[in-house]
Amino acid sequence: MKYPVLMGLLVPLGALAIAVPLVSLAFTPDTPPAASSTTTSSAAADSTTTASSASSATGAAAQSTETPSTATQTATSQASPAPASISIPAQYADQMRGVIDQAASTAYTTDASYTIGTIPQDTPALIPGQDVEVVQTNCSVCHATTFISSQPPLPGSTWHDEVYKMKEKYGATFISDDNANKIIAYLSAHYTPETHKPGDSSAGTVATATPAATTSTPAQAGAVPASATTADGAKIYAANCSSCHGAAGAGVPGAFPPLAGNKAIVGDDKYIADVLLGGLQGQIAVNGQTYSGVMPAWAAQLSDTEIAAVATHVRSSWGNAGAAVSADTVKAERAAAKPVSQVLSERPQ
Amino acid sequence: MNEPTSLSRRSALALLSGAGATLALSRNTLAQSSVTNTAAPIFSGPGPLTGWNGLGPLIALPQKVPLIRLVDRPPLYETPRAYFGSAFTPTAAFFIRSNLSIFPASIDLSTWRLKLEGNVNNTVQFSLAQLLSEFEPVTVNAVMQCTGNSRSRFQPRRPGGQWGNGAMGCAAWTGVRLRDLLKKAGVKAGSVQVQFQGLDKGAGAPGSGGAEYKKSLNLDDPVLDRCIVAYAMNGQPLPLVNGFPVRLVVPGYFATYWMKTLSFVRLLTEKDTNFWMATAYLQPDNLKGTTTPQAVKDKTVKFKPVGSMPVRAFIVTPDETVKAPAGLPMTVTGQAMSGRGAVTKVEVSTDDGKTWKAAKLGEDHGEYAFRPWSFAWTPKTAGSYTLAVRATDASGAVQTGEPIWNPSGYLWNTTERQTVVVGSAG
Repeated sequence: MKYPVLMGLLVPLGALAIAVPLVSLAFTPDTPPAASSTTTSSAAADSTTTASSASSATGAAAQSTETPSTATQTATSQASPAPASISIPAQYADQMRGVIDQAASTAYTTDASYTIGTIPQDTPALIPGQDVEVVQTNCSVCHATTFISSQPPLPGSTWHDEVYKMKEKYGATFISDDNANKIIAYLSAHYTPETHKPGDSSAGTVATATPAATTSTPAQAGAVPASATTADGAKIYAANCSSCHGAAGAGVPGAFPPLAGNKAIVGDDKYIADVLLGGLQGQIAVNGQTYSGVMPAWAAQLSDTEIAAVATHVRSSWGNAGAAVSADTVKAERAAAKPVSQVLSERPQ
Repeated sequence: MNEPTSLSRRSALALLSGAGATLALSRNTLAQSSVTNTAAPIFSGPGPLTGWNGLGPLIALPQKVPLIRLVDRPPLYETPRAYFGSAFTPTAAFFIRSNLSIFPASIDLSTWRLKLEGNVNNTVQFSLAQLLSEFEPVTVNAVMQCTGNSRSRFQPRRPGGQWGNGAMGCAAWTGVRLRDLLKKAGVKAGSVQVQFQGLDKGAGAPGSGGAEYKKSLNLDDPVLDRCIVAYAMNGQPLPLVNGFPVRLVVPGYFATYWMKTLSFVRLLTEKDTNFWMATAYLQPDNLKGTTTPQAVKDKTVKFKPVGSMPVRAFIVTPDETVKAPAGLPMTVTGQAMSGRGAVTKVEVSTDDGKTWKAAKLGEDHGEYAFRPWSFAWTPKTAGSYTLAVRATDASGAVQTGEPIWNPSGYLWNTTERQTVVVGSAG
């Protein structure tokens, strides 16, 4: 949600960054940046030895194989080509990464409630490939796919073990064997030492820049984007909800409640909006069965329109007959930012 | 990539092509690539990560300064190196690690209670007001370190949070003795372990490791005598992401036991077999916690739950951003720690570990705290120098350059190194 705002800032910032070198060009008669830059550039080109040995020493900081003899050579070569000027003015460069949002401080009240704002999520895109959406929808239920993209390249056998650990130990019982195999195949095809190298253009190293660039796309890779005005509820459901609640809304007995025939979600439209926005935890009963799992919040991943669309889809599918939910309702509920405990207490009986 | 931003950035550059020479050259003169649409990588490998910190953008969570994001959900955020200049890590810069994604963003202290239950004479519960007023406050200075701190150094690499060295911090923790709380409940005969649980939850099926996070300590473990239930760190309340209102402090032990938002203390009559005790956070059953991939494959390795932290020393300054002029006197500084006895000695090498000299130990903040150290060094000639540091603790353990390996990426304590480029002073 913050990105559209950021984007608005970036353009003037970019312009500023561009303007600054021009200004410095105009106002430094002693050492015009153009001239000094040229000097530096050619000096660097002339002293290839210096540049390469220095950069290898710096870059390979922890390789720790630099011997004193190499050191002496470096010293000698560094001493020879003196730059023409004593100093070079600082250069300003257009920089998108490095933009840091400081955490906003909350206006606290003096009661016994201690509340913080949202936890920022900046999930980088996964490498495109076959079944990437299966990876996104399944893995994102419990964790951001950053847990995949921040891993070192791992052998397929390790990915296999990891996926089955999630299924069998971490309770990701919603991952079918078929999907598990798809996930393993995808990871083995894109995140192994053979296929995943730092610096590859397709290496999925796009970090904060990518979500920032897509204003209407949810920041989280697990959420399926939809147009801002005509979100397809069925599509959003299939991508984000069906792995737990089932393609036909039947849920998983004992783990994930059914949506088909679930009275609580077809009544007050504010309730389903609240649950989608902030998630739900605590004990609930659906059709006589008790559930005490946790549903993640989708506020950061889905827009008001998307939440309205998926809520409307759920309320009008599989025999449910609830009224449509409007984006305005979602917007109002988002602004209300109700704590999960309140949402639970407001659950229609 | 064809995102709108990239395009607008490119066209902005194109517009500038008249003055473009300046920009293009200025890019060449900068050591870092600055105008680029490719973000810095967030992964490394298959070799070890060589930088001091892990990879990732700096992002601020509520009540925190920007930290290095490894994973956004659940939050894994690493403390940047520069914050270790002090023996006490600033609260706002303390690392964050949750095992499960769903944790409270709001605590209502009018209803929050710390409950002691299970095999006890009286099930009791305490409000924060009671913890503050009915118990003697005690303070312990202690390092909290993630069990997987420095996992990114492992060879072969192992999955998990790819921490550099910043999944640690030292704070002055103030709170209530765990023993005082246990006395109020009355531990019944037949209890073997005490289990800790906070309010974290995950989307995993009920009963699985992905649903709840629970850790247990043996009732006969002497560490219980020094455990406190802390409501303050460095004289401030805990940030929510660091466990407000109280977290368990287990001086000398890895952070996996330092339960955040501690809400349940449970006396067990049988050993805890939940996922987080029986399957996760296990180390090879030897002091260093090390083995080989082959031994694991052959299933000849005996595992046990992790516990105390081995001795480590870290170089904080100089870092790789320093280019030092020859002849300029410098101070090499850092922190040392051990969960197995006070740090007794820190030695520094300026020749990649060939020879060692004693560093000066700084103020002693207690056995479980960071021990600052410093070492005066004047590099005489230009060149590339590899500094190394090793610490010794009261148990007699000395760090070595031999890498640690185990399947989960735990207990790394190999000697730290830092290459420093020394230039001519002209």
